[in-house]
Amino acid sequence: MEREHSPKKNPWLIAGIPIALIGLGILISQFFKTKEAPVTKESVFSLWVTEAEIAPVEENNDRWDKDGSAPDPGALVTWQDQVVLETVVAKDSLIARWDPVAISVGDVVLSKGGISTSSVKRIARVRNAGKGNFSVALFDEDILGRDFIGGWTIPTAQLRPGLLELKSGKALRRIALAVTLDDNLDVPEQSYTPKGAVYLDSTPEVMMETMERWAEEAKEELGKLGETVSKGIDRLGQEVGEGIEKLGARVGKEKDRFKKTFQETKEKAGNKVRESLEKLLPGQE
Amino acid sequence: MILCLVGTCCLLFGSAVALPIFTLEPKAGEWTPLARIISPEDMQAKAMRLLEGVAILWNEGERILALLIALFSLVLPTLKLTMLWMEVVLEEGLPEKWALFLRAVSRYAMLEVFLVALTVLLIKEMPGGSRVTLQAGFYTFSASVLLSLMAAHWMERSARQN
Repeated sequence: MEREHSPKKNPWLIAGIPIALIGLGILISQFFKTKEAPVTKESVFSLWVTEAEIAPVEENNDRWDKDGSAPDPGALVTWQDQVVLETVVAKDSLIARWDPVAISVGDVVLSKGGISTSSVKRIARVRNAGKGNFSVALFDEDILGRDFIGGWTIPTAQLRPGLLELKSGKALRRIALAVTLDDNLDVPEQSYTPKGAVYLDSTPEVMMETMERWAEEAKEELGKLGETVSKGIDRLGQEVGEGIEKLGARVGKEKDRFKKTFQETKEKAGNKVRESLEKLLPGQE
Repeated sequence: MILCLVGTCCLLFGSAVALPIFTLEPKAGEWTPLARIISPEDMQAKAMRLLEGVAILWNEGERILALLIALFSLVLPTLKLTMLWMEVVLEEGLPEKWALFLRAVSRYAMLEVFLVALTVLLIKEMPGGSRVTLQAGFYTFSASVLLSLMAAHWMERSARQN
């Protein structure tokens, strides 16, 4: 009888308690998770350009390369008026991608096998200064140097670990930079767009020196190429001359042989005719 | 006493779901330093969590495996703990069919621990010196399973005595 008078417990409510306790367990475990170092003014960010998308034609509707191929983009990152990252050139790409690690054959040869992880990292390190900016720009490599494609100036205060993405309707359609803390190459999944970023329509002054260096390098390359071509032409001329001489000598030899054969054939044919006539008309001289 | 035990099981199970179960440190034998240079992301130590593992499998298209793991590691233990709790709290006890279900589920109580142990064993035997270290999630999971078995055993014994 007592059981009938006791208030009936709601089974769904009772079932909710252990589920709530499980949820509480999940919440408690969050306190034990290893947290990333918080971003402070002293934080050093590692960043590298992961991807860039370029418009199919230049802003004046010209093609990027005269031969009709896609541009050969390479990126530069500058901070505090210094170039802090220069990527390798991605050949013929409208969507170019770069890795934070790159090993060149030169690295291997020059270091005699002594390559460390720090020597192959292609990353820029930027400190989280309150008011500073850093810039990233893309250049199209061609035979005469590199042409400016587009770029962005970004406030360093906007940096945080993740994938920094910027889009525009101009020549540099999209650029993505991976940002991590303290040389960690594991990029958090979240992507973000920084506030206060300004699109660059022309080459920033700090990048001009690098552009000049590229132009000098291109000039040297062209000079070397010219030398190689002229040497090649000389050699070719020499080889052609020698070839003609050899050919002349061979033609002469062939001519002599032909003459000799012709003479022999003529003699043989004459003899044969004479023999035949002798057989037909014996006793007649 | 049994209610406290089941409550502790719930808390432990909840934390086991979110805490890393084990960490995997990939190695490539004597080529490890070179592999770290070529592919640093792949050579970083990875912490495996139950919830994340299920989500990764689901996103990678391994839907059946994700569902199986979710069923045996998340759904069934939650149901089992809920029913144990209800069995203790409800004066009239669980309806017969629910009690049967509880008994059926209890058979698979150690399955998750067995699976984790098997995974650890397999990876321990992997070439290249890849190392697996058990983490807090594994221990809380095991403790939750063992405590829930104890709670079920005590409940059964007290029911028999009554």
